[in-house]
Amino acid sequence: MIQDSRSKIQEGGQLLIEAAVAISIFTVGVLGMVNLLNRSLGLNVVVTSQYIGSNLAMEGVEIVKNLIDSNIMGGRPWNEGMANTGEYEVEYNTMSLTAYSARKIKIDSATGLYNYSTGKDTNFTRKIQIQNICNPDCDEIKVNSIVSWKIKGGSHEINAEDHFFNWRKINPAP
Amino acid sequence: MIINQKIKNNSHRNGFTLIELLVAMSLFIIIITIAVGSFISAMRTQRILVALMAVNDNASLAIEQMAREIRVGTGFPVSGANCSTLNNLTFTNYLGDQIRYWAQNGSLLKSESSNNNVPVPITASNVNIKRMNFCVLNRVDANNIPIIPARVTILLEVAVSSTGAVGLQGVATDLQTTISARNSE
Repeated sequence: MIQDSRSKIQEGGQLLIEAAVAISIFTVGVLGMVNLLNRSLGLNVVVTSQYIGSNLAMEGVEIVKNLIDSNIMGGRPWNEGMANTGEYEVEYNTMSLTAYSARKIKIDSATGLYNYSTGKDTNFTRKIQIQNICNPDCDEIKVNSIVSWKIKGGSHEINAEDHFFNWRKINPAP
Repeated sequence: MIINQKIKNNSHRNGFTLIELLVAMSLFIIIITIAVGSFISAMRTQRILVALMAVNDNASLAIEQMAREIRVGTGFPVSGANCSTLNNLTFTNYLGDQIRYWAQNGSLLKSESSNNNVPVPITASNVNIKRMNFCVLNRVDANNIPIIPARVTILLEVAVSSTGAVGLQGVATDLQTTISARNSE
């Protein structure tokens, strides 16, 4: 009953504590929201890098396709230059596969061209894996274009796979 | 002692003191400032995100559309041993229409001969195409017979347009992909 008589006197103090609790709950909520938005801003950078990476991966596959078609147009064995299963590098103007050496793709800031010779290093590396599938004729090539990069402390990889067939039945390279 | 306080308390019950009022008001102002500030910054971040997502979506759609058409197209400009860098690309699509792609005033435009070559933008107005070049490698021999299928590299630099979120115009993305034409003329 002494507490009873006290409660009226201490009302002011209780109001302050209530307010403090309310403010801290509110602050935690707002901070969470702000944090969420900042995270999504950071994730947008990652998403943008994935767009770049997936386009570069597709470029790798298309160039291998171009080389196969060039062989056929030139009357050469359809898989000339890629009869050996292995890891390679290609760029936009490659006329034959070069061995994989984990080079970083560069970007020429004047033209925006991703290549291996001019410009600043980007985070991207591209590995072209070629596998001849012989059953028993070597009439199928499996191509994996693997673009990998590091951004915002995370490692990312895009692996585009395509299979090309010797449907014209041109003799493969010995 | 308790009685003392009660008496004291009663005698002061008439209203808030100046100090109480000041404390209450300053607390209120601080909280409102924080709340409004964080709300405004949240709105700004959200606008930035929407603008950046629009850029990515538009760019990938434009590249995809061009790539599909180029892949089955014919009649690409002939180049030497090195690819020739062009700021526009003309070719014939699978229907036999003359197609032209180019960038102008921040838009990516397309014209078709079947549509009287009227330029039609294929990107939205909240996207700024800062640069679009094509590097076409289409080599022919002495008799004008192609020795490789046409290889078209699309170089696209996109950014948020000036009507988009403020302060983001400097953030640009360079996209590149290469397409090998399937129809070797």
